[in-house]
Amino acid sequence: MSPRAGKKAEKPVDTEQWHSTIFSSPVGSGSETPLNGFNTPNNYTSPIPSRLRDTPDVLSEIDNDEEPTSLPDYLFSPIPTRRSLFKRVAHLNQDFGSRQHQPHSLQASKSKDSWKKKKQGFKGGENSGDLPLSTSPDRYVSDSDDSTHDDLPQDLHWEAIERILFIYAKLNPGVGYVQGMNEILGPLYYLLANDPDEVSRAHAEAESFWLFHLLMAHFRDHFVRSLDRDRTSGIGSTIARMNSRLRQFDEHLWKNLEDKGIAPEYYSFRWLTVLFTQEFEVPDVWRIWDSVLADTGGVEKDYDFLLDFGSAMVCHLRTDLVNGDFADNVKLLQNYPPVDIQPILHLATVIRELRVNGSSSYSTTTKETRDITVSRPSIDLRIWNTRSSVNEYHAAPSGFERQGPQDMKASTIDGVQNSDRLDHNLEGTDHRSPLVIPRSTPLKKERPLSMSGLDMSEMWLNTNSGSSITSDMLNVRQPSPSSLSVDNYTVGKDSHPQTATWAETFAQFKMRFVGLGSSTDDKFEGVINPETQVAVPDEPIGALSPS
Amino acid sequence: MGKQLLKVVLIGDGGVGKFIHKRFTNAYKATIGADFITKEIELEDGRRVSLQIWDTAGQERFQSLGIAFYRGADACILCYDVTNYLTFEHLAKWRREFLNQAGIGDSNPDFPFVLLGNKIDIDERVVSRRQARGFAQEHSTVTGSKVEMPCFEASAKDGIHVEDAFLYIAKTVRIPQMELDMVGGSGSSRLEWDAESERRKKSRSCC
Repeated sequence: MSPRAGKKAEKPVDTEQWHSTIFSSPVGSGSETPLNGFNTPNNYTSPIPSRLRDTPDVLSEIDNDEEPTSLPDYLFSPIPTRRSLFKRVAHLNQDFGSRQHQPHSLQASKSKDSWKKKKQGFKGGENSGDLPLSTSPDRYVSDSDDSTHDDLPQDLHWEAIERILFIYAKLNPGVGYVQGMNEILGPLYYLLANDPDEVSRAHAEAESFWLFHLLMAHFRDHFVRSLDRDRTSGIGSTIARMNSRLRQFDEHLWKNLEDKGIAPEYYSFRWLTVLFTQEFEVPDVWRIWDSVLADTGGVEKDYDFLLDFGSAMVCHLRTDLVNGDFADNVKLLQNYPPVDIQPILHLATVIRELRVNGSSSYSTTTKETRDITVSRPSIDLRIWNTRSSVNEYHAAPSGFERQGPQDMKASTIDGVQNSDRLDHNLEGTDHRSPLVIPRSTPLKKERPLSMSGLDMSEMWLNTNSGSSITSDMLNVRQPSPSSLSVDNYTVGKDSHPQTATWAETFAQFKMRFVGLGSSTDDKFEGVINPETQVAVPDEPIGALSPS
Repeated sequence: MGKQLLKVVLIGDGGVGKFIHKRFTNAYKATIGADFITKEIELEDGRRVSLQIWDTAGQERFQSLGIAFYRGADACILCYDVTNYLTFEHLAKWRREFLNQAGIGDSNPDFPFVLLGNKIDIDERVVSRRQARGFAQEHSTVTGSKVEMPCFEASAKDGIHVEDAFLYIAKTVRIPQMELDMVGGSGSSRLEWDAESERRKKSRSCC
């Protein structure tokens, strides 16, 4: 965890220089939007609705002891670990029913002076380029004592997280705050707060709020208790649908679990409620979400790939599950082993195809053996039993080199094809490293399940291993007209290659969802009303729909 | 040597520290749904007891799911935070809820409950031992239970007395042979499974 976090942390930023360009902090003043004073080149429309902007007391209630003119220093502080990100919501969890907001938890972190002192300490103690938190996070984020760490820079991130959850709960009184929402917000905020582009980073809080809001528009029913027994929405029905999907795909395994008395609630409740965030590392979570969010306009509900993936997770452990007893199985499913998610994604794709195209094209008969036979020969499911560890990626051929920013643009058209290959066509690939796919692979014009065609986990591994296994999958896929503007999204590409690519991916995501981003594209102005839809525009969907 | 299998459910408000089985950490990760842990306990008399512990989520929202986790329980640990009186006050509600959802109701006044106060390492105790014992007595009289609900206090942080409650359950709770014969009602699915797992693992036998 820690070395990964380290690689991703942005390089230190000259605070003074920033001082002169940034004006009011999103932390600092509740009454102002973080956008005031920005020279936004594209007539940026504030994502914050007027009702929020005009009600300063909502925010100042939290921030009343903060000077309005203070710097948003926290924007430059790294988030050392995922766990530390969620630490500060603990007090929300501690309230029974979470009805009260406890102000005391916010107090300690307000002492900016002490943080500055620490920050100077960081700079003195560490060498160029690396933020200390990235190299030795445990020093600062030990679990030992909350109070002594409350004034650390990441606590300012915590305040942002708290504000988002707090405001969300206030705007959605029917849902409120439920444990697990923080897990969904986490990956969004983490990504945006690590944006290499300062302007984008300054908007991290607002943007992650709206992304969270949009995501929750679809998944919030899982958090509503009164819908638990509802037939069409709510977590109960979602679990039931996933269970029937599992049964449909692998009846033997389903029966096996059923016979042992393993209710699907025992494992899939958490999987589905928090969208797999507690089961996988953040980069894997991004990758999974990527596929989930791309699955719209299907036969059943939007984003039903979530259930395909959940079923695939169960199937992936088939051998162990069949051989284990009740306790073994529940423990295994509840503590999902750290596996390579790629085979699971492939299997989930198969399950989805089965669901979309009907059972005719697949043989769902499964045998006791490790071989799962699927009639389509181009998908070889042997790989999903290899349980290949992440380390195997390190052994992947390093023939591909990372493409420069210029190549990004040039290979855009190719990106669609790459994505297809990534998700659908494994024929002729090295099964030990399914991510490395030869260029000669015949192309398929099916709807890819990856929104971006960007493989997060590989990026991630590449970042950390130092080896250059990154292939042409680095290309950002550009399926919609709106995403042409990503070509203009060149900020920080050179200086922060890894995070820049994430940002590009997410820039598309943002533009599709909220209409934000450094885009001048007039198709996306303002905010899509989050109440009406989880807004993935129709256009790319139509283009990508299976024929 | 016979091996007994007991299903234990941990309930109580969020944040009281039901995660007594885990390594203590301030990095709080809320339970979503319920966590499943097993514990093998070997008693002095050589009897081996396998505890299957369901550590349920504390937040109110998750209570409607309780039925999936409470069903077939052999014992229940009521957890509260000795530094937070509200968590103690809610115990009666938790207990009632548990009995209802587990399908035990009034049919079994002797259903084994254990009272467990956590966080005694914190020096701001507001729930005294006497109050805890009072709660235990009160509920024993109400239900007409022969055995008074045992009270434990522990600190998950310092690891003090954490095992005591589990040890007590392992020692005292036994599934009567009668009950196994009269399989039915709430516990049936689990017991049926027991029978099947026994077939598979011959070393195992209930009671």
